[in-house]
Amino acid sequence: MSKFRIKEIVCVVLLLVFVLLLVTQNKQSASDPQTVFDAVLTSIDVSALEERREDQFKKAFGFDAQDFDFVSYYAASDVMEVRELLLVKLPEGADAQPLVDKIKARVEDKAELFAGYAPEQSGYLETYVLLSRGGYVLYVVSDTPDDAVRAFKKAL
Amino acid sequence: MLFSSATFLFVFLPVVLLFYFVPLFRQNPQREMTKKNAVLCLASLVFYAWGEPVYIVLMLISIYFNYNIGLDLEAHTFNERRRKKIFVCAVVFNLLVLGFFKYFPFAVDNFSRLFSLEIKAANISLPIGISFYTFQILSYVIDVYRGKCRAQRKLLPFATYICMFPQLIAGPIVQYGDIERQLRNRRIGVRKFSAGVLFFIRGLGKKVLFANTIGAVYTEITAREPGTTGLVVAWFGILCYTLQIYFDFSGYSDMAIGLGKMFGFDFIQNFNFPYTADSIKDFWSRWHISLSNWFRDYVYIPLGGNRKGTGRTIINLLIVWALTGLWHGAAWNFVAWGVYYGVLLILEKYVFGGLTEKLPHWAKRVLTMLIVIVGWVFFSAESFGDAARYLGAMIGTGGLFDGTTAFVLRSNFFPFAVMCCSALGFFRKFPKLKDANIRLALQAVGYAAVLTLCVVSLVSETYNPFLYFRF
Amino acid sequence: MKLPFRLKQNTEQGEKRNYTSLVCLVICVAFAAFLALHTLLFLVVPDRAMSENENRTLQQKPKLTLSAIADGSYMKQYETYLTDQFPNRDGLISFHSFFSSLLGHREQNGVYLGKRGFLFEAQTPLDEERLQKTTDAINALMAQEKHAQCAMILAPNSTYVLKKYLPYGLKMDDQKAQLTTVKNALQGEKFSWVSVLKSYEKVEDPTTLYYHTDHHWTTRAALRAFLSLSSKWNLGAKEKSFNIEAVSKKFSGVLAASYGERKIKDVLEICAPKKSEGTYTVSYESQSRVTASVFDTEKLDQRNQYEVFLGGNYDKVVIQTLAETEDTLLLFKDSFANCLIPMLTPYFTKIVIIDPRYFSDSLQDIVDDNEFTHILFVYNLNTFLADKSLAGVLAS
Repeated sequence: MSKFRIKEIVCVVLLLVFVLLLVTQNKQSASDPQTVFDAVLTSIDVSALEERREDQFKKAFGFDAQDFDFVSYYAASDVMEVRELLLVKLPEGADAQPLVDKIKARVEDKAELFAGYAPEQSGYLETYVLLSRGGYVLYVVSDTPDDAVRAFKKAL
Repeated sequence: MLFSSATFLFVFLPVVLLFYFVPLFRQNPQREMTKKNAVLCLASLVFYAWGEPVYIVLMLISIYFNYNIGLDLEAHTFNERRRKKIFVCAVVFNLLVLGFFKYFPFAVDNFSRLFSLEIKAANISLPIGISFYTFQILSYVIDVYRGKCRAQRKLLPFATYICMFPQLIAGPIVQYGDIERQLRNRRIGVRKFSAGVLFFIRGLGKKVLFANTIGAVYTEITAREPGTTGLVVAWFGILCYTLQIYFDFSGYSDMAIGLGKMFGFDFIQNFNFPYTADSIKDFWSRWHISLSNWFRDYVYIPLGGNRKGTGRTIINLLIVWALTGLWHGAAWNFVAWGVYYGVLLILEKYVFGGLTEKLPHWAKRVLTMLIVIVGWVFFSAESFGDAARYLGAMIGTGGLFDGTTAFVLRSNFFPFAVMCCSALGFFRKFPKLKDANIRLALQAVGYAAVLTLCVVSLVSETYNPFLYFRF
Repeated sequence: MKLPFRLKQNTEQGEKRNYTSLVCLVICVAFAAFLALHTLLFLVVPDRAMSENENRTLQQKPKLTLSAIADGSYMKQYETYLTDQFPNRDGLISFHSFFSSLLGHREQNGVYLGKRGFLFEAQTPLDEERLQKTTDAINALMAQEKHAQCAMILAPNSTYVLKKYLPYGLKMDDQKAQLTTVKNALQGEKFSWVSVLKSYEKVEDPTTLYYHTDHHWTTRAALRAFLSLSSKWNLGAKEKSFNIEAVSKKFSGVLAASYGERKIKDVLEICAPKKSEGTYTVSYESQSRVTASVFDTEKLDQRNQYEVFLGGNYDKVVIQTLAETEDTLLLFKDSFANCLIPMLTPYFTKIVIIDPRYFSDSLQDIVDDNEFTHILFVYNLNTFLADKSLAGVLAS
């Protein structure tokens, strides 16, 4: 076998590995939801937030917590505070889109409310993060959303 | 990273130019050229990674694979069967990569609709510029296989050719044969650099001052509720899009050519006043020339071109044009747009070509423009439904005028008129002043003004007042 | 062989210009200097934290970490950082707005520049389904609180009242017809409709009714509407019992900021009943804050001086007064009401102000606790037609 042939085959193998990695990125994660959530929780400042009950989750997002494998929702009791944190684990094979749409609509509504007179809060909303990955949906409004994303990806 | 961004203009470009032009090996021109190529290659990788940190891996694999293919082909010069095998493998590899990353979701979606299945393709984003660099790679592989040029023995010049940032993300598609010599040895100097600067400023102006401004008008018009757009506004809107796509694309090409010249390269001209064409064939010899050339050299002619009879020519033309359409994007409206041109070219060639020949020149031009404009409706629409609705508005389903007609026309008419004149080439001969000095001064003021206005616009585009007044 | 394409290599756009070497050199140097100058300015000019004009925080230099590069967030933030911190950003933006108006543009960020320096926001189209939801909820509340006097002040927008100052060619919906639609949809035994358009009729110069740089009605316009309400409810208010005082001659509202217009200024006036100081307290419940004035004069030092009225928008504000009456008022409102609220203080002992967009508690509790004698809605047509929260609050 010529040396070129070997190099070409190596390239093909590398490419296949690359594609495989890209595609499998979105497979169900095996990590425990609570550990994932704790990792996210410790990565950002949540001193202004408190854990919310299931009915409050329903009021905010319109879904029953029972329909999901895991729900943890942190928000502030002050209506003038937009920062919040939500992690949902979907049941196997469930479609994340309805929840994602609902969250997007929520952010848009909130952005409309706060725009123009609460620049800091509006800034948080502008950089909100909504990720659907590995069977999880993560939604963060925070001053440092990138940290939460990193912690989330790491914990998966 | 876009050329028309502050990051490119004021961080990336100055740094690259500095490293490129500060000589390291004064005594040894060959090593100096290698250094220049290395700077260019490295800069291009950074440029690409800036927008696609993940897909740089894909590009690197692709480069290394095809580099080896070239050497492999040359190592078996006398073994035709082996060469053919290598060649087929290489083409299949490159097309599979392009197919997977660009067309896989589209194919899966159509497949599942055809058999009413519920499959969804994994969500893979499109790597920037993959259509352009794959075509450049293919041109290399094919040229080497045909023996049109020698394989590149060094990895660095080869990588520089594939990932050179000026034309990496929006063309022109440079064929390897055209640039091979320049990779080894090219003249770099004040004369070429200054020509490059002027090209670049023209391109930047086309993109930022023209395309972005007029594009906003079209976006606003298409965002309206269906049925509320009057005939006049609909036509004005599609004319705006016609201008936008030309200035956007040709502006990008001009910037690429200009940057190429700054670094000492000569790329082929990609646009030659396409809206002055007097037939469809003429239009395509002026629009995105490097792409037309590519399809002609690597698809049409290998398929047999027009040497195998009328029937075969028609089929070949349809194949080429369906592919040209598909190349522009993975969606049916692009295919339709391509076939639309294919059919019209066939008709022009075999049916009404003789008739239109007799028309006066201006009538031929108007007719050609009408065809082009209707083509853009398909090109710009998100779906066939949207295209049909827009065409409907253009024939008056929303009435002749709507409430905004006067406002839209009045707000945009002056820039619109200037852009029309520019697209039709009226300014080409504009400064025909006798006095060379006055002409020079006017040009200097013009270029300086364009560059300054571009920066002003680039910054203002990001003006993002966080104000909401629905209280 | 005839090809379907014309072979054309190296067709240069524009004729080949033969510049002398000196000219070429000048071009190169000038271009390099242009780039270098900006790059240098970047390094020298200090970063800003906040943009007053845009009312938002500006992007700071992002931290360089491997993971931030891998997911692309570093590059995105860096690009924003460069444009946000661009030297003389505000100057460039106002130059751009000036330049594009020279070219005939009369619209920036959804704001139109009309004649005589009037700025306008686009109107909200009437969405029948949405309107029906809102009016049904209002009717239900009025049916439930039968004993209470109800009224609605629905202000038309400047696009209608000042329509002859709209930029040439711009046509807007007929708000008069829309107002009638709303009026006809509202039914209640003790309901009165305050026709703002009619109250404007006595005003000689309609340009005093709206600001040039802001979407709100002026305090004088609000006073006209209030006097009209007063006659419907027999409050007995007279124009001369109010003081009008200019608090700022350099008021530049949100429309001006959105448009990027800096030259036009308005006069901002406040209007309060004579001798009203110290006769009431204002408590902002969500903020646990109590003040003795409906005016927050500190806000006059800020960009948005309109917040001098009530300090901005809050979910629930309660005003307790020393007025010699048993009447209590429940007020649902948008920000148009802010300049009108001071005029109400002599006529009610308690005013509960609810801004439905921020209000998330139960309305029923408040209604049960208070037994309101009057219920008032104060909105402008644009917000009212776009409103999504009033119906929900009224049903809570």
